Amino acid sequence: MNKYLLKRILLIAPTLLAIALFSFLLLVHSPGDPAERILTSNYNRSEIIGSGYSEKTLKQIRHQLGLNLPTFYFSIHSLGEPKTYAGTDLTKDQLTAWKQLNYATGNPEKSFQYIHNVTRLQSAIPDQKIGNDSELSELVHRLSTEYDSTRIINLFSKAKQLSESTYHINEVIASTENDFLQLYAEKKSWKNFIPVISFHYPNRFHNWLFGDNSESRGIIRADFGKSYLTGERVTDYLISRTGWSLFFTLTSVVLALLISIPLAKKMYLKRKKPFDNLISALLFLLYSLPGFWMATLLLMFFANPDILPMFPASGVSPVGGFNAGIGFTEKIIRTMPYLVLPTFCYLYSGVVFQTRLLRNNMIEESRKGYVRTAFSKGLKEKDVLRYHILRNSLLPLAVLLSNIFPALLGGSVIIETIFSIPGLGSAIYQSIDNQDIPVMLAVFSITGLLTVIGYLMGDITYSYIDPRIRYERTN
Amino acid sequence: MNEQTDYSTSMNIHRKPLAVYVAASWMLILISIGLLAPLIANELPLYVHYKGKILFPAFSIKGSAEISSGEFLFYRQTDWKNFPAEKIIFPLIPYSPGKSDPINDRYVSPFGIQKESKHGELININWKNRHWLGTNRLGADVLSGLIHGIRFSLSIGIFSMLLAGLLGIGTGLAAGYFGDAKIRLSRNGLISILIGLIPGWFYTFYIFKNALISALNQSWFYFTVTLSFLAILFIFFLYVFYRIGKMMDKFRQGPLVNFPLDILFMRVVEIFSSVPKIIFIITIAAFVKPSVGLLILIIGLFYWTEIARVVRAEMLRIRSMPYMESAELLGIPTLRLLLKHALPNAIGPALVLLVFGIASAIIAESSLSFLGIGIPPQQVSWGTLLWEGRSNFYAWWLVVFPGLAIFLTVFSINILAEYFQSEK
Repeated sequence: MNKYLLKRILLIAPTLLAIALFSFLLLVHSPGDPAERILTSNYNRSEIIGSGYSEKTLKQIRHQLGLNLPTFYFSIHSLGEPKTYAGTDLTKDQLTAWKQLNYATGNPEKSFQYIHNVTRLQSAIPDQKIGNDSELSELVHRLSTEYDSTRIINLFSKAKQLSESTYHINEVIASTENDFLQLYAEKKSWKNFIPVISFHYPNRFHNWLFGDNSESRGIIRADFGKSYLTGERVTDYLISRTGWSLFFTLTSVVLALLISIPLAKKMYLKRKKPFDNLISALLFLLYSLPGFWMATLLLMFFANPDILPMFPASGVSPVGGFNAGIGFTEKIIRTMPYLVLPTFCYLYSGVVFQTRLLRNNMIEESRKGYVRTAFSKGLKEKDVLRYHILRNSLLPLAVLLSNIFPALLGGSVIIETIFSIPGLGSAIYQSIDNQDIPVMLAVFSITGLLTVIGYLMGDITYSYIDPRIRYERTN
Repeated sequence: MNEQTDYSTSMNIHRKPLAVYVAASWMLILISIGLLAPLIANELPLYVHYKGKILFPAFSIKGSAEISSGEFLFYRQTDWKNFPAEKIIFPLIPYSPGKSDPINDRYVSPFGIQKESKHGELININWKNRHWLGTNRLGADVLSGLIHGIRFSLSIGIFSMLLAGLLGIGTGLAAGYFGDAKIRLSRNGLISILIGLIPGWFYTFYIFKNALISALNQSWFYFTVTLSFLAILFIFFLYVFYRIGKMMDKFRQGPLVNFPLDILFMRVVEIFSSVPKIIFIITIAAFVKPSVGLLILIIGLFYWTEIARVVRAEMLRIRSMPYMESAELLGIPTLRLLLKHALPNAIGPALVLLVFGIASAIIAESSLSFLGIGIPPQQVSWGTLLWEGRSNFYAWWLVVFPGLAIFLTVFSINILAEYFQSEK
């Protein structure tokens, strides 16, 4: 069994890698600017003392988040581009201008130098509101984001005209223009058609996965960063919410088993008779019911003050909290009404699925040879069921149960949202409302991981129960 | 042993269970209503005779018409119910799905008092203009929403299963037939492909990156077209490299290597099936602009693994059959072998799964509309109607009727699929 086990474990590595890569891809292409999100979010006002919203603090936050590093271990680009566009503190427009200049001239270092000089030129010109100087500073400002050569030349000539009075500014403008003309004269745009591969060592993916040694400890050590909304660590936030999801999942699975096994047994014993047909039809009906409709209907009828206020409508505990000094058992009893409806919603799909599966498996098993032997030995049908058929029909169920985590995590989104249960499903739903990217990606990666582990457990369980799998030679 | 039905009379030898007939007729009714939806539930009339001109507003694409010089009629903004026309014929339900009716807004019940305005006066509503299933907060008619929602749900169900079917059957056939040891490629060719990956990627995707991004911003359709074009270019590039590498074999015969298609396929299937659907869709929908195409793509991308697994299993069974062997020996080209000989026999269980898949696609789509994720904001669907009903329980008609529609549709599809399964 160990060889099989080892092989299975090794084979989940590419899947995990794919999940990690995909989450990272989503992280890199997430809309919006994380630095701005963090800066303008509510919790952060007090932390940034005295600096306020400025380019400098944005840059600080970007460095903290590692946004100034190249994205991945290697990148394929053309010869006329720098190794990486990250790491320079240019604004978005300047970056576009630089890129376009690179496409045109194929000389990234000189283009960067040129843009840098133009930016410095801005500081050389006195900042005034009216008159020639203000027009000049506006011209230079436009110059720093312009990349079309004819327009640049026009701007330069106009700037030279305007600054004819002040000699040294004119000189600086002239020299910058000279830089540009030289850059353009030596242009080698053929360089854009030659691919080149370059490797980056400290890169965002590496730090995201393994953690840089200062800020984050990496996904490997379950550090998913800090939430954009509240600033607390995502791992702590999710751990606090896993409790309820896990509770409902486990309870519903156990209860479903307790209900479905006796029901399936009874259906098998009375197969093809009215009882079986009726319950099969009922189960089929329940299977086609959409989960959220069932939940909404239940709420409408059982939690409605107008109709039948048996259960509370939402949440998992009373709104005002419990009174102080209340005993533990008392708390449990008070919380139970809140749990009935959600558990029922989780439960009924599990019961339907398991009962049908068990009944079909039992009927299939009853056609096999050993059942006939058991009958011929003189056993009654009840006993044959109990001692022989039940075991064999439970086999596929045992495997499927370990795959149940991903399905329940998926279904929990809807049910938790409807009943306002603070669990993992509603965590991801709320994170979409708030555009909270770290939480979203953390839930995504965690569910992927849990699914893979679930499948692995299913395989292990199956191979443990059914010896034929272990000793079967592959191919 | 007493479960045999008596099929001795030839008259009822083809008789199917009653439920199948009921389900099939429900689906036929639904499909026909869905196809004719703009003619059944529309605020624009079907026929208008006004000032000597005959107009067909419900069929018009332009949305306006010129009556006489200077007088324009903008269809969507005219109050047709009080329109002074010689003759006017309305569709059965004179309301469009999302259009608000300010007189009957704020959740009017189907049994409640509904009013309409006739030339400025509020009177009790004519039975022809009644909101048979109530209205929502803005006064939009629920029945009309249900009818147009049929189109939305069924089309998403069918098209996503079409995508899943194409992908799944194609890859399943290939993986099942070729297995691990059937495709043999020259090693020199493979090495040359490895070398060619970087230039290939560069000259197709990197250089046209701007084109891709602008297509993405335009619409899903353009993006898919551009992407497929570039992908074909990329594959062609790699093919050229492979041929160049194979030419080396002319000088000195290199070894042939197995291409493990099956193992690759199983890994890919595992990757796709390892994230729960809803979580994946939720995550993607937060990053991308929501649209119908996105929904079809994602639901299709999630179901194809099931289809592919089943088709592959069938192919494995068929592969060793005598007729396949003899066809191979006869020298029938591989593509025709797969399509004409293997496909008809392998497709049975996959078709059943596809029909079940339509039902689950409808449930997936309504769950997503219910949560408000992944659908364009103005779209009216069964799920969005239900979501409105969720926050206002006394508007029971917003919960019961859309939910009933979803339930009956899914139920019928499941009955039909179950019947196909027991037959085939």
